[in-house]
Amino acid sequence: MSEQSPQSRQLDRETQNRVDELGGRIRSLESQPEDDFGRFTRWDWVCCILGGLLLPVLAVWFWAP
Amino acid sequence: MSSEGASGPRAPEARSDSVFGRMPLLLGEREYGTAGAHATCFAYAVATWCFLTGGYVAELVGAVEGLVCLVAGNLVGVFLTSMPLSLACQRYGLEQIDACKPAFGPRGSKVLLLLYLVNMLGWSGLILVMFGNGLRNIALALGYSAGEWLVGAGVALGLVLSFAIVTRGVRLLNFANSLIAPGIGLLVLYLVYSLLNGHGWQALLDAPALSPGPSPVLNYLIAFELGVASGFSWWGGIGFLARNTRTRRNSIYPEIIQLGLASGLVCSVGLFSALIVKSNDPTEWMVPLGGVVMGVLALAFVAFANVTSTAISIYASGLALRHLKPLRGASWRVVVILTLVPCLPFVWWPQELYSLGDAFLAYNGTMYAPVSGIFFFDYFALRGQRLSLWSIFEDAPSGRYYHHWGVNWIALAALLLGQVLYVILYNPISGETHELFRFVPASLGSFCAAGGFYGLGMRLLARRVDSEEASPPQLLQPNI
Repeated sequence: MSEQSPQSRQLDRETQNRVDELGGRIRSLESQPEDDFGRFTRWDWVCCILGGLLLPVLAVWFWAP
Repeated sequence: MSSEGASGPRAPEARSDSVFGRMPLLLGEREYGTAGAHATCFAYAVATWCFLTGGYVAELVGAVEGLVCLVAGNLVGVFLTSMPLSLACQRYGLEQIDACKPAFGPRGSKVLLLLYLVNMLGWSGLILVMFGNGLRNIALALGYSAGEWLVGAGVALGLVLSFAIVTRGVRLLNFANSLIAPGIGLLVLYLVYSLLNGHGWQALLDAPALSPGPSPVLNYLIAFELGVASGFSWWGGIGFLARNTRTRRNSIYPEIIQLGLASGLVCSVGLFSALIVKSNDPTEWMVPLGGVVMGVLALAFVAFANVTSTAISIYASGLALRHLKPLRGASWRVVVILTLVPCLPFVWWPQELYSLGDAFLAYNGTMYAPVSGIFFFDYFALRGQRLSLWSIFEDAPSGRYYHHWGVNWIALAALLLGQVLYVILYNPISGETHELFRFVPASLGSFCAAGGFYGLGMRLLARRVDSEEASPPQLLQPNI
């Protein structure tokens, strides 16, 4: 087995720390209840579709030359 | 690290690493409540590129039609691109390239990275030319007639200043931005006041478009297309905003209201100014509208704002380059220099490239309309709003999103189809349009075709797109 330089050992340690940190974050986010991230109901969808799509398209159609 | 450790209080450098890096952001680390999300989105929305967009639309249509096209187009573009992306980035604390890995694969998502860099660096170049034009016009207003060389020199100076800001860190960037956003807001109000006080609403209504084509309908539709493309071009900033919000509503409503509506209105102020001054160059508006003293002050402020806007783009591009394996461990200075290199042509050919700005703006639609269509279908229809974070950060072939050789070829084919269809309907470079363009806007056609093709292809050809498989408990080849 080849010996690692101090820099590469340090790099490996840093990488392992980042992977450990990532794993902890993923476990935390995946185990969190959906409600903790806020609700987005059907009414929200209706509002967004109206304001973000239907009304703008109607306005473009209405003012077309 | 244990999950408790990950969700508990974090050291400032670890938090910075997650906020400004790729680590999924925990709920406790997110900064934006309702007011914060609106304020940040507004700060993003009122930037100098709004003036550029308004100037380009002024070439095609008058005030009322332009206002409708810009506001409606921005709203539609932001809605289509932000609905799936914001909900995914908010739920999983991800930035947008990572969020798209389930659809495109770990290697396939590099294509998105390329599109993202083209978008950010293209805007940077255009804004730097605006900075150079601003310097030249300040010199002109003060009585010095400078040649075209000053514009190129301004671009070079802007690159050096951006490098200095970006390499000094995020704090300086945030500080500069905290001055710019309210300043641009005031400048917009000042422009509106000057326009209405000095010229009046009737003069605005009577002002003709600067260089319209022969067909009023096509001019109108192309102006709408530019508005939609302007909305789609927020794709690159949505991940950062959404992953920093605590609730789903805060990730969506501020984006539609500020990036869509407010940005469209600011673009419209640019449109009105261009129509009255009869120039699409924002740096030529200030002196005629405000007089020499106020005009030069406004120009100097816009020049400052342009440098910070560029610095933000360069910073975001540098972070995006960290997705590439050779650059993950490279020093930040090297990454920033590599990001600046593609902007160098703007030093030598500033006006030539600046004149292609409207084509570039429309090209944002070419790039992001199909990507948004694919992700819309993938996130809502195929995956039922469930992603596996383990697989997003996994490069090993056993990862659920590995597809074939790390690429989802169906998504890439859909992307290509969407782009080809867009160019057939409306070619941003030549300005040619297909007969169908009168009925189907290019970006909406591209969005639907790419999303539909992708959905059909995945249903028929992909082996498994379900989200029921147990998540792997560890990462074999983490791509962090």
